[in-house]
Order: sequence, then C-alpha cells, then structure tokens
Amino acid sequence: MALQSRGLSLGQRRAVWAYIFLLVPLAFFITIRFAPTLFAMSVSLFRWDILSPNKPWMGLKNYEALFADPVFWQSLTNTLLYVALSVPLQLVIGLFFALLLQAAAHWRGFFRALYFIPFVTSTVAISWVWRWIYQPSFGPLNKLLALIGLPEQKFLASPDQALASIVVAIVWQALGFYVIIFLAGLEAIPTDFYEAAKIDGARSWEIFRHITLPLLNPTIVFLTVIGTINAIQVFTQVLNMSFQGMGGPLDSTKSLVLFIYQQGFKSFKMGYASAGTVVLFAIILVITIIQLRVTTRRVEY
Amino acid sequence: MKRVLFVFVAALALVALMTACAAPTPEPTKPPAPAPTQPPAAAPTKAPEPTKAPEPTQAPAPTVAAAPVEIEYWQYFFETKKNLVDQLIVEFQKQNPNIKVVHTTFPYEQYNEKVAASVPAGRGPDVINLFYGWLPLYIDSGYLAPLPEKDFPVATIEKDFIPMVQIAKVDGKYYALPTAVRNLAIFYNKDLWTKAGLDATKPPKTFDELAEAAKKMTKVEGGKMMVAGWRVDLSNQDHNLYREILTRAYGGIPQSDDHKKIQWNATPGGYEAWQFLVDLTAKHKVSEPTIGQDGPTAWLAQQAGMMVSGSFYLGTAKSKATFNWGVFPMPAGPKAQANFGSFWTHGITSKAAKDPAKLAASVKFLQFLTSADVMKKWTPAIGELPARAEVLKDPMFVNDPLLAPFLQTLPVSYASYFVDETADRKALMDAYDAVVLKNADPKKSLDEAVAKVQKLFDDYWAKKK
Repeated sequence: MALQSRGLSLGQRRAVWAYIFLLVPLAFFITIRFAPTLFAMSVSLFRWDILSPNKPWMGLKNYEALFADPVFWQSLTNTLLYVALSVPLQLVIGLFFALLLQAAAHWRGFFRALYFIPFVTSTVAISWVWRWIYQPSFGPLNKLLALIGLPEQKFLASPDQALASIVVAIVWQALGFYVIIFLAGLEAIPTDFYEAAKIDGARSWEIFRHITLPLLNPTIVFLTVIGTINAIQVFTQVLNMSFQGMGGPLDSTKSLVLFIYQQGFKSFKMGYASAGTVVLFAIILVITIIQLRVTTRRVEY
Repeated sequence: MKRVLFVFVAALALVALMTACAAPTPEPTKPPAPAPTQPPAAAPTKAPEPTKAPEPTQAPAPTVAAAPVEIEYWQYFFETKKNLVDQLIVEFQKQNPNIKVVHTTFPYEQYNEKVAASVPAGRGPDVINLFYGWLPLYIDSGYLAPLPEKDFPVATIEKDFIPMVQIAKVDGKYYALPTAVRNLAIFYNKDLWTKAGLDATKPPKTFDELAEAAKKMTKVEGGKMMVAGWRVDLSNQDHNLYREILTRAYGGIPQSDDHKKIQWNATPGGYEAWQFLVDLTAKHKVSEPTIGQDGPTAWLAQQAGMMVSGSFYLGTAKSKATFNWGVFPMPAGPKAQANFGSFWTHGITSKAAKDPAKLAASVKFLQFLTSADVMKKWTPAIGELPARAEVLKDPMFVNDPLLAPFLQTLPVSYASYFVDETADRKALMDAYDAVVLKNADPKKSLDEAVAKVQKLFDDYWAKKK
C-alpha cells in the first residue's frame, strides 16, 4: 500500500494511521450531521411541499417570507427569552447547590443522585407533571397559593406567565446536570489555593470571588455554551406544556424550533421550515463564536 | 504535510458521499408484493412486468385479477372506527378472496406527518382516509387520483349522496367519498340542567336562549368558577361554531362561492356573531378558558353544563359520561339556522392508480366502504351519520333520540373550505384569546383573524396559478 511506502517517516506514518481511524467518526458526522445540514440548506431554496412532486425553485423567497412573518419574529423573541432567563438561572442555582453539596460531609452521593434524577427522566413525562402542577383551580401550585391566601394564577393559560412557567420547568430539570458539572469543576481546584488564602486571612466571600469563581471559568464557559444551545433549541417542553402543542396562548411560548416543526410537519412547507432552520443554525453559530471569544479568558496564577 | 493529507482524505470522503447521495435511492420493496409497486414515472424500464402469474385454469375469480392483490388502507386511530373497519375488512375479504387489505392506523396528531413521511420513501397506502378539509392540499399535490368515472359516475354520486360531499369535487371530478358525515349539536348535562331550574322538555331554540340557559347553569363559588354553563372551546368545535354556524345565523356568508374571499367581517352580522361568542366568556362569564382541560373534558367532569360537539362524540359520551345527559339540535340565530358539517373521506392514492390490479382492488374496497350496507353498520357503531340520502331516511336513525337532533339540521349543514385547517383554526383561537385574555377589541381581533386567513387563501390561490 502506498501508505506504507518508505518515503514516509515513522511519525508521518503514525499520523496517517491516526487520520484513518479518525475517518470513521468523520464519515459518521458527515452522513448524520453535515449532509442533512447541507441538504436542508438547499431545500430552503425551493417550495418543497412534501406531498407534491413539484418542487419549484424559489431562490430567497422563503427567507423573504420568513422575515415578513410576525410569528417568526415572535418565536425568535421567545427563544431569546428562553435563553436569557434559563441560562443565568441554571448557572446561579446550579453553582449554589454545587457549593452546598461540596460542603456537605455526609450523604453527598445520595444528594448528587437525587439532583441528577430529573435530568435523566423523560422530558415529556416531566412536562406533563409540570402541566399538572400549573393547572388552574386543581393544580397543587394553585392550591398552595390559595392556602396562603394568594389569588389563583393562570400560569400556562396566561400569555404573560406561560413562558416563565416553562422556564421554571426547564431550569428544574437541567439543574442536576449543572450541579454535577460544577461539582467536578470545584473538585478540580487545588486545595492549596484555599489553604494559602485562609492563612492570609481571606474571608469566605473573598475566597469565592477571587479563587473559586476565576478557576471555575472553563466550567462556566462550557455550561454557558451548552445551556445556550439547549435553550435555543427548546422544543419538547413547549410542545408538551402548551395547549395542543401549539406554543400558545397567543404564540407566547412558541420557540423557533416549534415554529419550524409546525411549518414543516403541520403545514407541510418544508422549504419554508428549512429556511427557518438555516436562520437558527446561523444564530447558534454566531452566539457560540461570540461566547467562546468573550468568555475564554485564561486565568493564570 | 499532515494537514494536506488530511484535507485530501476528507475531500475524498466527501466526494464519495456526495455521489452516493446523488444516486437514486433504491425503491423500497414491500415483502409480499407479487407485482412491482409504484415504478417511478421517470424510470419506465423496470424489467419485464411479471405476468399476472399462474394462468387461471380453474374457475376465474369472481372479482378482479386472478393473482391475489394486497392493498393498504390507512386511517387515523379512533378506537371504534378501527374496530369496525377491522370487522368490515374480514367481511370484504370473504366477498373478495383475492384481495387482502392491510389496515394501518396512526394517532390523529401524527397522521399527516406519517403520510408526508411515506411519500419520499415511495410507500404508503392505496386507499386513504382523510379529513375533508385536507383535500385541497392532497389533491393539488397530486397525492390523490380522481375516482374512475366508470366506477363512480359523477351523476350517480350527486344523486345518491348528500350535497355536503360535493366539496370533494375539483374540476368536475370526485377525489374522495365518505361513508359517513358529522354535524354538530349541543350536548348537555341533564342533571345540571334540572338543578338550574330549566325545563328538559324545552330545549333552547335560539342562541340567546342558549346563553340564558348557560347563565343559569354557571356556578361560581368564592370568585372561582366551579361549573361553566357552556364551556366555549375554540380549539375544539367552537371555531366551526363561529365560522359556519354563527356567521350564517346572524346573516353573513362565511366565504365567497369561489372560496377566494373570507367574509366573516364583511357584514355587520359577522361582527355580531363574533361579539356573541366572545361575550359568553368576556361579559356573561359562563365560561373560562381554564376550566377543565378542554371542552369535552370539562363536560365529562361535570365542570361544564353544555358544550358543542359532533355526532362522533356520542360513542364517547355513552361510554364515559357518569351522569344523565342529552343532545339538542343546533339553535338558530336572528337571521337563519345553520350547522357545520364535516366528514372523513376515502380516496385512492396516485400510487395505487399506477398499478391496474391495485386500482381495481382499491375501487372494490372503496365501493364496499361507501355502500348502504356498511353505512347501516357504521352509524350505530360510530355515531356518524350515513352519507347516502336514502340511508338517512331509515327509521332506525330518524327515531333515535340521540341521532335525531343531528339529522334535523343536516339539510342546513355546511362544510367549510379549508386550505390549511390548522392555521385557519388557530387564527380564530388567537382572536378569541386576544379578547378574553388580553382585553383586545373584539372587532379588531376579528379583523386580524380575517386578514391572517385571507393571506392563507391568497397564497394558496397564487400558488395554483
């Protein structure tokens, strides 16, 4: 074989073999990820009515229609709201519980498992349980409100509260994942720093502010990126928690992915839906690049 | 060096993949198919057509071809319908031993998706059950084949079937025929009705009387609605109530005859009708959007005294309601009485039409499904009303206290023409929510709904040109 020709040094030959092994996952990614992505991009340039054999070329008309569609803008705004609300909440609450867990001397494994259970539970099941919790008149949450003398809330049935209500469910479910990752990050911080700081008489807030937080930076970056991407792609919770999966009331909870799904699979406008996916792809790409640039400042000691 | 090599290898892999993708995907073959199914139109040379196998030396089969034919029938999952069709298929196969019918059902929510997904794969049903409102979409896309004139003459269809089925006629051809049709009526809880001091022998004749009865049945305790007199639910049937029934009842015509213009707000009557509907929640407070999960659930849980639903709901009500209940006919408005009619209908797919043996078998099956005999079994089992005018006159239906309220208004039942039923419904749901949840101006919200739906129609007709 040409690869084993004497022209290549040992190092080069090794590299070649490495690349050959890398080809396997590469082939997988190309067929499962890249090819469909490119295909979706091309579909977005046609009127791709899935039932119809005629799929006329549209150029950028799908995009024009998309940008003129108020529901698209509404779902885009909602999606950004999902990100803006869920990511910081998950980070702060996740870190809070991770710090508590780290301080706990006993039962740590038990608590860790406990917090992680929601994360490995079916999102659909969780969404329906939350839907029940939020039920007007019969839901436990409203019963609780009545018990302490507060007025009944509509939660998922109100255009003003529905999105926030879904965010609570999302945060609750993702919390376990954040706690676990934060714990790993916390445990990777060398104890020498803490000891040195204590000897210097630093208070615990100062230790947290100047040691823990900076050294957790890679963890925070990772979680922010993952959390943002997840929140941009939010779908299952909205589908299951809004009435008939419509993203209502009044489109107030409709996420971009749900919008795309409805256009593609309810109205059969695959071309239009694909244009939506391309826009979503571009948004995720830009946000991720910005986040990586802004947040990966190395902290050296 | 390394990098160059990598790029080269990656490019090679990519090219290989592209060519693999560009090659025509092989036609998936169905296991027990004696005849080749659905050859793509562009590739006619598909080997020698397997001759219809063994020469029929013995007594020729009574029906279609000699070789056994398998056809596939799809419908959405509705328990009573699935069970009945299973029984009917057994009967049909006894009559036509050479035809085997494979019956597949999908949940209603996924139905269109499943059909859509089957198209690129070149599979799917030969005979399909569709909601009539989806027909324009399925007909325009070429998914359905017109019913053969020799087997289903247009004149005969129009003589034998009730006029509602004509919505399946496009350019003079029928694309689908139903076994049964449905229209709406008021389901009421008799216990709550008498408890509110209402007379069960005197059902409301007008919408105003209906609203009065709803007010009496509504029960509020400590600011909390315990019973809605009339659970208004636009996601269920009440969008139809507005679109086809109330607009006409108040003197409007919902759509222009050529299905190009939405006229809900074209007359003062259209606005009055809308005002009546939103007032039930916003002003009279006989309903709340949050009581019960939805209309039928609230009604079954005795949280609603009344709801609008169809004859198709009779079966569920019979098996699930734990209280005394009844049905009365759709009331009239100040100007007219109208009802909304709809139906699930059977069509033959273009896929089946390409194969003469399958087409013949599909025609047989469709004729069977739309026969008077099947209708007489269908109505008692499902609750839907027979689509043949002559069967409708059968005393067993006319004298049925639960079916009679539906039959009475069948002559004034109209089927709406939809280009996108989901979006059409959602426009009305959103307009209603805007009024009851956000205190929007009813007139303005209706105008917005009309604009949205009009755009759907404009886009649809522009595409057809």
